[in-house]
Formats: sequence, structure tokens, C-alpha cells
Amino acid sequence: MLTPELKKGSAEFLILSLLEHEPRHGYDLSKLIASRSRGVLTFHVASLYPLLYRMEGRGWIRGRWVEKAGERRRRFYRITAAGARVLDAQRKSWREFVAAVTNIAAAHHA
Amino acid sequence: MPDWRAELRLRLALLALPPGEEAELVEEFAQHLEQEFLDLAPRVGRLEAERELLERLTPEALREIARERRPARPEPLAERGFSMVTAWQRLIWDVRYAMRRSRRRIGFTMVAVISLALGIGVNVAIFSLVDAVLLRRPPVPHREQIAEIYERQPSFPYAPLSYPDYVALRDAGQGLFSQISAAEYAAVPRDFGDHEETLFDELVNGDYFPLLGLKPQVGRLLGPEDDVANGAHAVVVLSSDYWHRAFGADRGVVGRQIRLAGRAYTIVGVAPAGYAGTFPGIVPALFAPIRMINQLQSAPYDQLTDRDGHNLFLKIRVAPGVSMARVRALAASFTADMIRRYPKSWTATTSMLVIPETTIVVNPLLDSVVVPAAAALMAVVALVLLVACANLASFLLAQARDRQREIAIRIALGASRWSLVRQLLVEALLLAGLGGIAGVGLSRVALGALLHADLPLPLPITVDVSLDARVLLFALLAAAAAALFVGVLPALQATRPNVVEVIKSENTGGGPARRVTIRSALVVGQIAVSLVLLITAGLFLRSLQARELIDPGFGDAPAGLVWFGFPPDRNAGPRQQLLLDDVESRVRRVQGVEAVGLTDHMLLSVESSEIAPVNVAGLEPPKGESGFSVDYASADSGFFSAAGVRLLRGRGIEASDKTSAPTVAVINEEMAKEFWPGKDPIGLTFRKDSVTLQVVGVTQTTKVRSLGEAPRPFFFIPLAQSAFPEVMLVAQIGRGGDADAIAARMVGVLRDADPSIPVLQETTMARRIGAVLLPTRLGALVFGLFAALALSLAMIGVYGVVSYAVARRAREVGIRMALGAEPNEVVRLLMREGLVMVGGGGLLGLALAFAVTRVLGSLLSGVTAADPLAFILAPAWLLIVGVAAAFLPALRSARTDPVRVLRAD
Repeated sequence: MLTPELKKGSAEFLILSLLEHEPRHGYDLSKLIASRSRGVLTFHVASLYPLLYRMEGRGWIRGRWVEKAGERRRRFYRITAAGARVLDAQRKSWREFVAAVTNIAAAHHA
Repeated sequence: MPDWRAELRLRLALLALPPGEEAELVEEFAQHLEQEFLDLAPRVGRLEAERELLERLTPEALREIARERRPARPEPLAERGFSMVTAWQRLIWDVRYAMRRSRRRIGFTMVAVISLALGIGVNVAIFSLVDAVLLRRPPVPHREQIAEIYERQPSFPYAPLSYPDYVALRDAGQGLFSQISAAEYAAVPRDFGDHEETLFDELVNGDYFPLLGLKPQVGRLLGPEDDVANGAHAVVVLSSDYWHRAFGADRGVVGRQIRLAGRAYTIVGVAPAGYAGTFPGIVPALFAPIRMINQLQSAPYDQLTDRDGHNLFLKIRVAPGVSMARVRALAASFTADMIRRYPKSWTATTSMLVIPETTIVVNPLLDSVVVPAAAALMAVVALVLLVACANLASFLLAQARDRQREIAIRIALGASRWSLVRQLLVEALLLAGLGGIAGVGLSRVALGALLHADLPLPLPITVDVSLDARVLLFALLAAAAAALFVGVLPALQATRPNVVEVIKSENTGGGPARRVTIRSALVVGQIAVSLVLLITAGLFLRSLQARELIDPGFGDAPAGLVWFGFPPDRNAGPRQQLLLDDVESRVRRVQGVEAVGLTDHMLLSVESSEIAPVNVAGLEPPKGESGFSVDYASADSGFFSAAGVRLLRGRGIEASDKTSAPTVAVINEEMAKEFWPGKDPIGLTFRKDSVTLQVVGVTQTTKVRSLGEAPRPFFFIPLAQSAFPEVMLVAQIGRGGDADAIAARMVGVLRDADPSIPVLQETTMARRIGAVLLPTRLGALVFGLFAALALSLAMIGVYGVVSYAVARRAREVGIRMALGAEPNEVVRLLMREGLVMVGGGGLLGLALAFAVTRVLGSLLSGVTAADPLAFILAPAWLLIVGVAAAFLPALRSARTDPVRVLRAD
């Protein structure tokens, strides 16, 4: 089981990466998180939106009401320049972390 | 689709966000919830999906959202206030959800509410009676200082005292008693000018109200100033009941006058609302000074000096520092003194009882019957409720099983176990709440019917069963206990499934064995309880049957009875005789009347009886007694044929047995056997007090005090040779005649003869004898009803469990039948589970019944508590009904086409 902190941390990382190439709305994000994490991470209204608002407060993402033709008005989140930098940094440290873990695991198996 | 926006606005309102921002959140969340709902609803059901989604919007989560949106804003509500408001709101949401679920399965809800209403209703009804009769007491200060005083005689364990004895005790107890109260019941005619009405009154002394520490509602109560001189206090206090009934609770009644027994009395006040007189249930209309008894109730002797009338109920309050032991010592020396001074009234075996008020519930004599009866009734109705609850719990358990998949999914989606348990509990509470409300309503209806039923009561009994706080609290507790019983087990069961197992299996539930066992245990318990009730009902029916088979020895032809008193100027001597002759000849002329007679004490009287010491030459009276105590009555020449008392030998009372004629007696067969065994008693004599009576006839032995009694010696003396304040007129009509109509005609005849004759009671022979049977009849009826109720509920349980097992094993049955099993083999297989429950419950019930019915001994007569017939017939009946309840669903299953069942799989 994931601890709440780990869940929150990995969720921020996930959300940023999901928003990297296109803006998405909240429900879309929660479905993608569930499917990408194979059900390990589930978010619903009460847990997802505080996270989005916090990330918005930090300037990593930005929410905006968008009206598309033939659809109703929805709030879409897009990644900001600051968010992209955070994503880069997180990716880098994540890769380093994975590499380190792999090394240790490999050392054990050797 | 639920209105998410409204729900969200309701919840977000607590956060006190700026309106624009709130609208944005509402819109964003609502869209999200709509989509989640469409995802979830197909898997767990619409209502459950809605609840699950709303459940996640916890106040804490909402607060976090607000914090993230406005990091700099102060907390919208103080911590404590916030959690309290949200707790309430959460409860309201739970209740709303439960109501919607209940509406959706309206059939189940109705059955649940009705069975709980029945269970709670009978409890509230019986508790209201117990509350009215046993529990509701005016708040008497320092109850521990009060004691009741009775005389104990061999024939009467708790006899009230006579007025002169009370006066003697009052004087002897000076210094030891701070107060001594005396009260006596009397039927008093109130004169309205054009008609009269007989009121049931309590005549009291000056210490009566002060001893109880009561305060008037209006005006004043009676006090020592109304207890100074005989016949000099023409004042009355109204009981609260009569004040409401006859005066419309008019506060201006004080100072008004009413006419009682031909004299004007001034109303000086109204007794407090909660006070219903010395005996709960016998509510007096008025309280009048005991010094007025001779004026209010005419008698051919002075009732304030007559030492043989045992009518006064005494209470004392000890002076400060005086112990009950000292009062008992005084009572002992007082008794010794009275026995020496008045050997005629005070026989050597008389003793005096000082009973602390704290150990008395209603009255020492009645307590021995009323308290066990009340306890038995309360236990029985509690059992009925228990059965109703067990039934519902077992249905909810089955439902919980069917909901396991839904619940497992919700748990997997992150719902907390507590929130699910809470939801199931709130559903149970809602059912119990509705059941409770309906039950209170039902109890009102049942009590109304009971109190307005035309019961053959010997006294005007008024029971105030209005809803008071205690009854409502009881109803609340009963409903809450029912909810816990019904809700907790299924809730815990349902929310403890192995989540993965349940979701994986495409079946409806996992781990069946244990849950079925709990359900079966509930049904076994219900069957056991039902059997206990059935056996109890059987015992009461047998007791009733035994009593109804008893021949009272008189009164087999219908007869009208009227009990009346005399105007003061005609209450003795020839003038009284003239009045009686006139009345009898008028009644004799009424069409249909075949025989008319009079007696001063009717046989099988619940209210009073007459006993005299009897001496027979050559027979030694019991040790310490001046004579044998024998019951007797006065009767006139017509009484024997009118009342149907058969004469065996000699003659009855005749018109020639006048005051001046020789004193004679007609004895019963039992008296002849006891005092003159093997001899013909006709012509022999015995002494009653100091009078010698010659036996002129022998009648059949009749029942005297109760139907269950052993044959009791009894004798009649001529009415003309005795003095009596009241008399019972008996008019016998032919078989098939309408006794009620004749009784009414008799009252009319009395009014015609003299409007000033106080009519005290109008009844019939059948009602009179019915009054004696009333407790057993009511017992048989009530226990029978409760047993039927419990048995039906238990059988619904058996039917439900067997049906459920059948449904579960449909596939197995299908395979067996496809493989060539005979239908009756399948029926047997499927019935086995149901029959094991019936058998187990039956055995448990039998064991319980043996234990429980021991307590009922005092309420039964003519049968033992281990009556074999009741113990054989009740289980046999249970078995028949139980087999039927198990057979029907099994048969249905065996008749289904195996191909269909297997294909459905």
C-alpha cells in the first residue's frame, strides 16, 4: 500500500507528465491516473482537486474554463513553464533514483 | 441522475467561499461526479453509487479544498462548530439516503415497519398500563417514614380497620405518629334535580392530604379543620379527573355547591392532577370528610362507631426519630389491649401489620397478583419484540449477503467501513423509528379499545394511560434497542467480506457457511420463544377452561342485578321493608321476570363479604378463636329461586321469617357436612355471635369467594332479621331473555318507585360471574394473541430461511433431478434444514417453557404449570406449522424444471 505522502508525490509527478503534451480536465486526469497506475492510485473529487489546486497555487499548472463548439464549458488544466521545469527535475531525479535502485539490486544479485 | 449541483452547494455552503468561486467549484465537481456516477452506477446500483460519491465529500476534504484555493484565508468556522455542524449534516444525509432506499424497496419496508410496530406497540401498550397502575406515583416526600396498617385475621390477611379502631390507634400512637391518615371508599348519589348519578368517592380524615404532602390545583385540600365534629363538614374536594369531566376544568368551581345524598356540599378545591386516590385505577370523583360518612352513605347503624365494618385504609407517618420497630411494638401492645377490651371484634388470633410504604407497590394483597402478572406481561411482550427483531435481523442478514458485492466494490474504491456500518445502522434506525411511531399509535388504539371495551368490572376502574414522558422514553428505548438488534449484526457482517474474493466470484456472496448459521440461530431463537408463548397461552386457555367448567352452583338462568341503597328516612325497620316490598312487587310485574329476590351480599362478590364467628354445640372452635369463621349473607324469600340456588332439604327463607319470628338459617351442604357430619341438621341450632339460629333448610354448596376455592361452608339468614345499608335486587328471566334490558328496566322501576333511591350498580348475573373470570379470560386472550403473533413471525422466518436455502441450492437440485432424483427425495433434502431449526428451536423452547411457566403458578388455577396437555399440544402445533413453512418452498423447488435451472446457470 502506498503511503499518503508517496501517493501525493507520485501523483503530482503523474499529473505533470499527463499534462505535458495536452491540457486535460479533472475527470480525464483521474481516469488516466487510475489506468496508468493499474488501479494502485485512485483519485476522486475530494482527493484530486485539492492536489490540482495546490499545484495551481504553486504555479505548476493553470486551470481555465474553455468552451468548445457543441460542448459545454469545462475547466482544463495545462502545464506552465514552471511546471515543465519541475517535471524535468522530477524526471531526472526519478531516473537517478531508479538507476541507483537498479544498481543496488544488481549488486545483490551478482 | 442525482442533482449534484444542489448537493454540492449544500456541502460547500459551510466553507463560506465567495459566491463566484463557489459556483466555479460546484460546476467543476458536478461535471466530475456526473461522469463518475455513470461509471459506477452499473456496477453497484444507482442509489449506492450516488451515496458512495457523496460520502467521499467529507467535511475534511472540502475544508482542504478551501484551504488550497485560498491559502491566506482564515478558517471559515471554528474547529468545533465546524465538526458539529458537519456531523449533523452527515446524519441528515444518511437519513435522506436511508429514506430513499426504504422507498425503493417499499414492500420490505412495509413488512419491517409493521412487524416492528406490532412488537413495539404491544410493549408500549403494556408498559402504559404498568406505568399507570404500578409506576406513576405522586411524589410523596420521605416515603420511608410512611407505613400502611392492616389487621391480620385467619380469614383475611390484610383487613382494613374500623373507624373506632382507627380512633383508638390514633390516640395510642400520639407522639409516635406525626400523622395518621384514614380513607374509605363510598358510592354516593349526586342529585342534579331531575336525575341522580352515583359517584365513587373517597372519604378521608384530616391527616390524609397533609400526610401525602399534596398541593391543591385550585382552592384548598381537606385538612384537620374538616375533621372536627361528626356530620358538621359539608365540604368536598374534586378529583382532577372529575373536575375535568364534570366541570370542564373551570377554575371558578371553588365555592360552588353540589347536592350529595340530599344535602348541599361546598366545593373547596381540586386535588392535584397526578393524584388518583389511594388505589391507582379506582379514581374517585370526590374527596369528602370521613366525618360525613353517615350523611353521605345511609346505613341502619352509626358507621363512625361500628366496630365490625372493616373499611378504613390507614397510613401513618412516623414522628422524627421514631423507628418502624417502635411502631411495630406499639401495634403489638395495642392489639393485645384491643383483644382484651373488645373480644367480640378482636379475636385472639388477630394481629396487626405495619408495612413500610417503600415495600408496597399497590396494596399488599393485590401486589402478590398484580406484580407477577405485570412482570409476566412485560416479559411476554419483550419476547414478542425480540421475535419481531430477530425476524427482521435475519432478513437484513440475507439482504446484506446479497449486497456484499456492492459493498465490496465500495470498500475497494476507498469507502471506510465505518461509513458503511453507519449507513446500515441509520437504515435500521429509520425502520425502528417508523416502527416506533406506528407502534405508539397502535398502542393508543389498542388501549383505547381495551378501556372502552365493555368489561365486566366489579368497580368503576379508570386507568389514565395518557402518554407521559416515561412511556415515550420507554418507546424510544424499545425502538433504539430494536434498531441495534436489527442493524448491528447485518452491518458488521456485510462490511466484513473478503473484498477480493467477493469481487472475483461472479456469484452474489462469499463465505456462506457462517452467515447462514447466524441466520439459522436467529430463527431457532424465534421458534423457541414462540413455543414458550404458545405454551403459556395454552396454560391460560386450560386454566380458563378449568374455571369455566366450574359450576358456581347458582345463577344458571339469566338475571338482571341492581345494587342500591336507601334514602336516610327509610334505611331501617318497617319503612325500609315497605320500600323493598313495593320495589319487589313492581319488578315482579315487569314482563319476562320469573322470580325476584334480594340479598345484602351477593355470592362471588369481589367487593366485600360478611363473616361471622359461628359456634356449634359439641364442637371446639379453632385455638384462640371465639368461633368458626363462616361466610354468610342475608336473603329474602325470593332470592333462592331468583338466583338459582337449589334447595336440597327443608325450606328456604320465607316471608314469615320476620323480625319478630324465631331466628333461622338456611345452611349449605358443606356446612352441614362440616359441622354435623352424618346427621340431618334440620331443626338443629348454632350460634352466630350471640344469636341462636335454627337450621331450617340445606342448599347446594355454591362458590362463595372465588371460583377456584374448595367447598366453603356458608349460610343465609332472613333479610328481615338483619340490618343492611345496601341491597342487591335479583330478577331472573327465562332462558334466552335479555338480562341487560331487564337490568335497565329494573333501574327504571326503582326510579318510578322513589327517585331518591341511590342506585349504586346495574349489572347482570352473567357479568357478575364474568368479572370473576375476567383475569383468566384476559390472560388467555392476551397470551393467545401474543403467541399467535410470535408464531407467525417465526414461521415467516422459517419460510424465509428455507426459501433462501432452496434458492442457493437451485443448481444442486437441478443436477440431482437431471440425474434422476425423485421430487420427494429433493423435498426431503431441502426441508431438512428447516426441520432441524424447528426441532432445535422446539427443544430449546420446551426447556425454556419449563423454566418460565414456574413463575406463572400464581396466575393459574385448575391446572398445574406443567400441564401435560399444554406441553403436548403447543409443540405439536408448532411442529405442524413448522413443517408446512419448510415444505412449501421445498415443494416449489422440486417442481421446477431442472433444465431451466441449469440453463439459467
